[in-house]
Amino acid sequence: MEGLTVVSYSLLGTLVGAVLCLIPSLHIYNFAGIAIVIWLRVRTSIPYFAIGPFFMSMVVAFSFINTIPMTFFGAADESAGASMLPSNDMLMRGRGRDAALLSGVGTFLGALILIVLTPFYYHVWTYVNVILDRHLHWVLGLVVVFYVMSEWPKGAGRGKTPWAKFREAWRNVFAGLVTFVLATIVGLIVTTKPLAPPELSFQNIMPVFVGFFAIPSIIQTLISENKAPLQYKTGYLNADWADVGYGALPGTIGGLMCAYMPAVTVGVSAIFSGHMSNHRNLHQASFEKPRESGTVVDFHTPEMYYRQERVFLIGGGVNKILYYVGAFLLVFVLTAMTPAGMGRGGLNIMLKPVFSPEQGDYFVMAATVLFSAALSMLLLIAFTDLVIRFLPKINIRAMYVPILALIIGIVFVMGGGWIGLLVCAVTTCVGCIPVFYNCRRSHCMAVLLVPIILNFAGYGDAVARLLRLN
Amino acid sequence: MERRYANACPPPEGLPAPGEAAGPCRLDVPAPPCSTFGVQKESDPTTPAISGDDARGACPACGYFVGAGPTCVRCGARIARRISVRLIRVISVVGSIVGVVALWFAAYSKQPHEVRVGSVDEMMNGALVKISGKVTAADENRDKNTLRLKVDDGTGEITASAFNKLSQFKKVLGDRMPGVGDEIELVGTLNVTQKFGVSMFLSVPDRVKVLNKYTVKSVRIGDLTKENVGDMVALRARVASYDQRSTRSGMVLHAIVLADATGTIDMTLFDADVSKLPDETRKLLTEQGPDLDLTIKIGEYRGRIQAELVNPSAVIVAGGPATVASAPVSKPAPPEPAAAPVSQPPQASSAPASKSPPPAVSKGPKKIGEIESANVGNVYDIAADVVSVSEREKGTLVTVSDGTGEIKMMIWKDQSAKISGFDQLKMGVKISGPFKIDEFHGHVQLKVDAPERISIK
Repeated sequence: MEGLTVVSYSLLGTLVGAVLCLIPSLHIYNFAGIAIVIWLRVRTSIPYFAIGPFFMSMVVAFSFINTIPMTFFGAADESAGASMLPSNDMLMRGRGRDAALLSGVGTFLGALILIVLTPFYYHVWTYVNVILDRHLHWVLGLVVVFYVMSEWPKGAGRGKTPWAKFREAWRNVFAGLVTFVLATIVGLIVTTKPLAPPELSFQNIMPVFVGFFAIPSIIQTLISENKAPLQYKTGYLNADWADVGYGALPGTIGGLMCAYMPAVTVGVSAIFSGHMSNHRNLHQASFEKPRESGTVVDFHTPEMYYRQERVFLIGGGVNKILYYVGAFLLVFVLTAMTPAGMGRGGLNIMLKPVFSPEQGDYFVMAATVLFSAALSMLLLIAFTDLVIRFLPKINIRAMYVPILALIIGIVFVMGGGWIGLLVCAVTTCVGCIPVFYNCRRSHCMAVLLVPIILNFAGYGDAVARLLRLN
Repeated sequence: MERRYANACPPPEGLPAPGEAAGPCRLDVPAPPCSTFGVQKESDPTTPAISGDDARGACPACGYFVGAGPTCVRCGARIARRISVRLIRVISVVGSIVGVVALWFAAYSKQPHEVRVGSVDEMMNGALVKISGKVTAADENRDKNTLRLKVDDGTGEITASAFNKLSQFKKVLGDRMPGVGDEIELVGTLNVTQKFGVSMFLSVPDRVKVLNKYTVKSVRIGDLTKENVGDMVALRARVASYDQRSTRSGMVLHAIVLADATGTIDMTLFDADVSKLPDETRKLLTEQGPDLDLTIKIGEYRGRIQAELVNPSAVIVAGGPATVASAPVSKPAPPEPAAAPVSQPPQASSAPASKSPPPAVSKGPKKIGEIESANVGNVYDIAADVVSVSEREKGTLVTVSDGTGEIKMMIWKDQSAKISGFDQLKMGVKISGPFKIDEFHGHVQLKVDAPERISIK
């Protein structure tokens, strides 16, 4: 009977997650928060052991289906830069379905890798956890240094005067640094003295992330002039097994990194793992046939025609599921050295007041991941086909207006009322800087990274005194 | 035919140019109907050379001539009433800086909400709140550099922890470090977990304020009553007896009886607490010896007041430095209604603080189904059938039923010899006699108070 209940709730979670994730710009953690509030009201009628499978299957479905709004509706969250950049190009060339399914293949492969690594979690990762636990502050510091310094000046050739060339080259790098500093200050403020009222504090960080990632993307879409062309449907993917292999390793490394380290998300880890998939095996995979005789059309640098874009998408899919699902799955790795598990991530923090794992739950969760991943892959194919059929008829800009209203409503109700909206407005302004100055959105993750580093290093109270927030 | 590149970068040499077959094309599809910038028809001389959006009537996205139309017929870009990206950039930068300053000011002005421990729920996880109450326990772990306080505000008790910050707290607070009994005000972040309940994280020492420093007053055991439950007092007493007992769950309890000239009071310590005591304190509390000065908190257990040790490191020999006791205390005889221990001091008049009181008088017959928590401490005549018998290390666990309900009782080994017919104890036999209603781990059970009056047939 319990088995049937677990399967039922896994199925329910997959379907709910799959449908809700089609709404662009909304994150699964927004829905998870709402689901927790609903569960608190009806907890007597829902079995306690169903919570884990329900939320796990929701997150698995999100890892798959989120590809669709990010590819077709331009709704980029923080992980989009890590997994979706070539997909926009492919969308404009009529190959959006290919992009979505390549990412789905990577995500499904990631689900299998996640389960295969089980002995690794129990017999190796627990030791890594114990060793690294005291050193996380400087490890995270190095992560920050790397991803800030790895952004290089671009466009140095533009401009007529040396000053114009210097300005053009450093504009986006400087914008990234400004974003980093502003996000750090916002993070120090909201972590030292949260502004949300106590009754709604369990989601007090939600307005921050909505402002950094969701709303700037919506603004960008609303003012964008892009119109997606007709998409084409074929019977096979434009990739081979070698591409899958090349994408698996960097995705796994990046995914494990962000599943374990606090505040390191897909976007940040993909900067590390993406270096492994850059400019690999220059191999022309496809090309654009000229539309009109006597003309040639070249949209991008020739490298984008090569294996890199497929490897990037597949690796991004692996990275994504290892982050979202892996971070939650590690909560269930209960050993003598890790009695509270090794989980990180927003879902783990949200579920802590209502759910705690027990011995033996890991294998139930692993089975849930497999079941939900298989179902989600099928749903991804079905939903992608449905979307590409209706895409030319959809007015994307008109679609985003009610979604923007919905997001603002969720921030108001769940994120702390007017103060939540104020926080969201400020972080929206900060989040617009990387979008409109063409720098990395990952700089916004300084909102959590820097405060966590300072607290782990023992300087949290010194910072509070410095900011006069003690 | 001239080749044009949108980004002025020709492909690397040696590679087939786009348009030339490089292999089987897996997607043999027509080109999309919408193309982006850079496309020109070199063969058509009538097409005007338009680039950028400086030319009037040109589409800013693809450069196609659209005249006075509101949108481009080729790519759909809006020609008029466009939102300038430059404007958004300016708003984002200015808004960020102004907004961050506003956020800082809002945080600076914000006063944390004061909440009651009893009203904390799951939705408050992560909230920065203020709690005012009395410190009931203070633990400083120097090895882990951690401070742990238990604070009771009358609606519940909460544990406030400062991990890896004890030295900072001591440095900032100095003499104002909170101690047991102090009235304090704490501002910290709530941590609500399903496994461990509600606790609080303290991260900033300045957020701990001692409102009222507690002054411990000296009392005599005989003056203590149930009204003193919850008070912390200083006591001068000696260890009258010491005993070790095991519970059903295997825990070891250290039962100490403290005595002064006016009465006695029980003090029970768990083995885990005793192992944490300094060696000197452990010796003083487990061996008969001179009078000790110690600070206790008055608690209540099963209707009797008892002492809870506070600040173990401050237990000292009265009037001098702590010394080792001369002889260990022998374990006292099991409680018997007729016998009284030789050195038993007179009991306190208003509080039943002695170790082995005489068995209480029965209040008459009672059905098991009518027994409830309010009856705890009373003795009733009960007759019932044995439903199950289970041997334990220290006694026998018996479940009895009289048709109206079932209840358990533990018959200790030292009591079994005094019960008439105990060797016939098995399922189905009848057991009767006066039993005291007791409570253990929230469950009501029977206690054999006078084993010689119990009979088994």
